[in-house]
Amino acid sequence: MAEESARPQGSRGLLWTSVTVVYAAVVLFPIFWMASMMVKPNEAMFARPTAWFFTPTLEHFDYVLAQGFHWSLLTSFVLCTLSTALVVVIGTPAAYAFARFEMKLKDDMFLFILGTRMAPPVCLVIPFYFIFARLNLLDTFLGLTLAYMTFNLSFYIWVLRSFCRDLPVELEEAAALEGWSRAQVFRRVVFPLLRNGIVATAVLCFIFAWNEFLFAFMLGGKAVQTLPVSIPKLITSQGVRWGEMAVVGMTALLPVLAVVFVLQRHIVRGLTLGAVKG
Amino acid sequence: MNAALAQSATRAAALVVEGIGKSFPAGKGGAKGALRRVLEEIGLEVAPGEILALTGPSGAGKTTLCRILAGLERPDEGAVRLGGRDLAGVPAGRRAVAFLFESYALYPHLTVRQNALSPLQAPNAVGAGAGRLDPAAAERRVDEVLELLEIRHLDARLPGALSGGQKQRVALARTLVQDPALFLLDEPISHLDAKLRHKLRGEIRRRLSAQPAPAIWSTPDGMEALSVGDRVAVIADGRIEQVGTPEQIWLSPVSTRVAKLLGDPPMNLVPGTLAQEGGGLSFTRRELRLALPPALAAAARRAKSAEVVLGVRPDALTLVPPDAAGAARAEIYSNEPFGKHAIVTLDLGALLVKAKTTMSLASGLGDLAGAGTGEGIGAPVGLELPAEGLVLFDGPTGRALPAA
Repeated sequence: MAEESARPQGSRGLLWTSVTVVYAAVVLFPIFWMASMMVKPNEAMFARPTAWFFTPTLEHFDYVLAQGFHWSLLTSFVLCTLSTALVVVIGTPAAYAFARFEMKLKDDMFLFILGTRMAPPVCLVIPFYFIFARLNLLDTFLGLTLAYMTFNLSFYIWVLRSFCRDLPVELEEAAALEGWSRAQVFRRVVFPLLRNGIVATAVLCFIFAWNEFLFAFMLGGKAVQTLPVSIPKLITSQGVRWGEMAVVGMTALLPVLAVVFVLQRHIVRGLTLGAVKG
Repeated sequence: MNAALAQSATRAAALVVEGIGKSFPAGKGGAKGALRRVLEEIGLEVAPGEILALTGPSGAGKTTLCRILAGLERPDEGAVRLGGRDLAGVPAGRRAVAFLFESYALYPHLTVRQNALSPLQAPNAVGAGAGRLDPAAAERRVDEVLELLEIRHLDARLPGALSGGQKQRVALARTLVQDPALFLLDEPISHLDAKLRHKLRGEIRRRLSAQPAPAIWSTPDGMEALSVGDRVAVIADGRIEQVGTPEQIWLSPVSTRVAKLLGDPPMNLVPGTLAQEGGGLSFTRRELRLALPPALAAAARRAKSAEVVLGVRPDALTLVPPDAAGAARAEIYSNEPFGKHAIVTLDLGALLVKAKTTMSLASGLGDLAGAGTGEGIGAPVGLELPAEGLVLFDGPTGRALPAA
């Protein structure tokens, strides 16, 4: 289509294609390596010269399941879904309000919200620990959900506000003049047009939460153990279990890939800001 | 509340606008808290079924006025009444106003048909007397309007797949399906091509005239305003300059501002001075001299200043050979053939004047000017002023001098 016709012609095109291919190979090689480690027998793991061909084994999977790592996967999934859902429910109206309504100290409030994202997380985790200890929120789903919301909510509001701003206000005015109530205008006009932006931003929030280590490690860890926190357990007194680490690592990668793949259409549209035209 | 308005719609209520004023923050560049006055003392009356064309240069306040009438902006002072009822406390959604936005404001995620149906499906749906139209009737009405606007075949498309002109017609359809207490059309056909504009101007006017609701049709095009309005209101710099029938506005513009806005091309405005000459008054600008006819002379006597501006329509000017007696000498600046007529621009000494002439005269202008054949650009030519159809304006204020 358009990309086809815009492609540089001849040797320049070939050059660019090879550069792209080389770059992709460099980026994807560690992932390929990790994938191969999942089924590599321990003897072949660090063999010199590198063993490119070996008899695949499932022993790493057996160990990971026996050690209950699938529970960490479930924990991660529930926690991230829950916190992302809450962020969307709370953040969408907030972002809309920041974009549309006049209020006192709006800019100050907005900066304050963004401010929660400015400090390095390690500065926040200590006070969080003490507060959560007092409130009996340590090592609970609720506690970690709240902790994730603090940094994802600000990000979400910040990004979604610009999506809201790009919506022509006249669309809402037109609907209001037709006789739709404010809630109906939001449901019929605003929400459908914001959907791509919401999905794209929510996916980013989900990924941030999914990959988060510090908060999950400090505020959770036993009853509520996320996948990133479970990985260090594979550094054992008998040595580092590389194959198992590769299995857990790849497992952590897949849901994110799946989410991005399924929602690709929305994300691409959402990330190309200002795509809504009246 | 809405039922009452719908009732008044069927009873056909007049729109009365009194002393509307509005300021906006001056915005960037201005001091903080500074205000920019966009509307001042706007007073209008639109009878049921009447179309008032609102015209003025862009930035004059047309859109702001429409938005205030719709309830999308709050006026700083003044009142809007519909059928004697003050609309101050009535929110936009309950005013039963059919508004056409200049930017179309089509819902990008809904098809053409869904866009046009939207106002008929709303719970506070505008019009149709008591309550909502039943779905089948709503569909029929939408079909009819889409047919009229020649976009029925596009009804399953999304607005993103339409051309600008098609989008404007969808917006128009969404307005015309309604049966409101007031129509507000903000530049409804400005972005259409000439052919469609001519076709739709008549169609919309016909449709609006058949409706009991008053209508306001805003347009920056003065000629469009004259053609669509039962009456025309000219607005400039946030003030109403003149309200009147198209004939009144055309024949006796109250100010140079109104004169400048109307006509194709607009009225020529020639600054000059008044001088006593024999028993009468004459208008002089360099070698251009005109003994004023009695009616105009009477008007001129009321002038406070000798500095006046003479307004003359391009089609009233006559081109003659440069040495003709009594003609002012001018130089041909450009010559645009239109086929049915031609527009010749003349350099009258630091002032360009446009004359609308016959095609045959324009193509032989070089001959007329004695400069051989061709368009005759740069050649001298004589210019004669008519004795009628002239308007005299006061120089300093730009206000028309009242004739008799």
